[in-house]
Amino acid sequence: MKELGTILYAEDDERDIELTMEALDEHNLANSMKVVRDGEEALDYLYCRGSYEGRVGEDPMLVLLDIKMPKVDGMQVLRRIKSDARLKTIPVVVLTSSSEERDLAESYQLGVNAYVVKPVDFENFVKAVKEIGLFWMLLNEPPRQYRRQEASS
Amino acid sequence: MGRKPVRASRSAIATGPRKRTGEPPECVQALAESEDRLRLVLEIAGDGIWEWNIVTGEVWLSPRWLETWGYPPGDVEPTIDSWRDLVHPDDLPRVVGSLERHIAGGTPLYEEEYRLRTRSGTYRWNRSRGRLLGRDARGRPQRMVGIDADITVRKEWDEASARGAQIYQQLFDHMNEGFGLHEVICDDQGRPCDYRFLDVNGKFEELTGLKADDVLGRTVREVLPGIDSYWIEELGQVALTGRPARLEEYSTPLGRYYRVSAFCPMKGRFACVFTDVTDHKRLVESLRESQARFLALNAELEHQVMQRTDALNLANQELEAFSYSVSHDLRAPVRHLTGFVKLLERHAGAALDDKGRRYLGIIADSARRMGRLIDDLLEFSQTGRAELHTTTVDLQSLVDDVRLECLDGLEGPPVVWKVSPLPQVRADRSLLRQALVNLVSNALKFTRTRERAVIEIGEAPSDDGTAVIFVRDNGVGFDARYVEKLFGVFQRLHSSEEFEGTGIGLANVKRIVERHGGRVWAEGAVGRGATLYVALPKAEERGS
Repeated sequence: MKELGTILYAEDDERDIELTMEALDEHNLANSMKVVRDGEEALDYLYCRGSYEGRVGEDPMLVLLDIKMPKVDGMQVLRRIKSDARLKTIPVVVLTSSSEERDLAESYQLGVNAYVVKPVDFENFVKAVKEIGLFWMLLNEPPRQYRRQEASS
Repeated sequence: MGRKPVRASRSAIATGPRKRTGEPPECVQALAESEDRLRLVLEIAGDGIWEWNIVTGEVWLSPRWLETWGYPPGDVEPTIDSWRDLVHPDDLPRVVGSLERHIAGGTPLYEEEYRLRTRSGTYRWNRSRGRLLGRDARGRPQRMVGIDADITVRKEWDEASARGAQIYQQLFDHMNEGFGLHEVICDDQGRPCDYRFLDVNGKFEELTGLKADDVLGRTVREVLPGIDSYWIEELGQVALTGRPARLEEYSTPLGRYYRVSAFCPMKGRFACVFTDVTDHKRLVESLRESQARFLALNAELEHQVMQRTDALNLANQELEAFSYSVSHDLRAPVRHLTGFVKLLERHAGAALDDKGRRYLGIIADSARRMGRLIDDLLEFSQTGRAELHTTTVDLQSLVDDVRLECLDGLEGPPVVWKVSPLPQVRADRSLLRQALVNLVSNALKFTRTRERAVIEIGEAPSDDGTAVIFVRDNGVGFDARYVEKLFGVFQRLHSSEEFEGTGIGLANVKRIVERHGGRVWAEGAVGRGATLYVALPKAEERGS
């Protein structure tokens, strides 16, 4: 089994966080979660600034993004990641309540790797979150560039 | 003709002096010489000479005279009677009258134009001039001499030009255009300030309403004091520069539009050929006016459309914002409800009694229903707003897909499908698929209580060029009295205990079909199944 990196999870709703953690816990993925409560904090984490100044460790292996968040929203975070030469290879999955066409369209325009609507039904929700975790953390092969960076850091 | 030869030697001019016995011989000699010279000159000039002895009735005709009228020498009897015979009978009385008047002393000179028969029998015009030369002591006329000339060519030319003038006069009088000849009048600086009417034709009177008698000799400022100086300036320039001009203008005093072609027949004058173009002008003007009105109306309409579009866009934006917020914010609490009920069940399920577990079940179920309602509402709102991507859709294969999808994981009685050939339609594939899923799941839902579900899908005959598709089932049917409610939002004809659902499915079908320009309707009866119809635009046949 390969060494797991961090999942950066940006979500403002603590109940969603709890449910998501619950879902991931079954696969021991919860430990590798780093939860931030808004877009600004997510960017601080990624750029090792603000309260994350001097953060050690590599970049996250996966970013889970909610769209509607205070201050900086998910779309803005997505735009920053995908337009940053260093960060753009990190897979970003939008995990949101909305299945609005314009959110979907904009996300893909910005280069999102997956777009998942949080199912209302808890069973389905757990299933969805688990699958995201399993796919991106365990099955997906990141690009070489990312792995080299990982190895050197 | 049998005339006696003219005897030239008997010429009165030649012999005359011998008869003037009262004169001295040297005088007679001088006169004879002068007469000879005159005769020579006249003969050279080409005129024929004649001499008439009024007393004897003898006539002498010069060789030139005979030659002029085509007679060989001696061919005309030298008498006044044979001359009479040569004159055209129509002219004779006039000529004789003229001669008599002269002889009687009424005219200083005899001068007449008449037709004279030539040798070939044709008549030619003769211009004859003569004079009485002497009277005897009692005052009786003695003899007359004269010269004749053939003026036929000039006469014909005169007639032709008279005919020509007549033709032009007729043209002038009867042409469809007005005509006027004018003389320009200039001020001290030599600028045209008025003009005088010299001639006008009949059409001029008709087109201007002015009488020739009232305008001829008068100036335009006298006749039409309100004349626009434009006319005087423009037409005056034609008279002064000689350059022709075309004008098309309004005449204020006459209240008409005229199209005028003006030219300069001689310096200081101008002639106009003109027509009244008022009707044409008014037509063009009214066309222009109605065009302007049309454009203004169009602009107004466009403005209104824009305003309405703005209002509509605003409403749409609000609706979108609302639905966006529903989508994000309303679903979250529902999700939490189901999630935490589940966690609670996991956490404390064992500690709860049956009642407690039932309550939890109800909460979970209600939350799920709430979630479905929200999702259905959002979907309904999205089918109204989604852009249409119309292509040719093969209904046959789409229905096959939809059947498989709807049957997936479904529990219920065995289903007998009767699918007859389906046409191709013009539609948005994914929206149409959504509509078909709704129709087929509906049919499956309401046949669930049957022992055997029979679902028929086919094309119904249509006479308006649309493709009419029907989905028929042998399910519980519906009360035809409430058929109107069938396609309404959140309208249900069965309780949710009997058949689950939010009542949005058929509303969605209706909305999708109507967005394609089609329509939906239903037939059915309680306990006897239902048939739902969808009319859609047909795809054009290949090759046509």
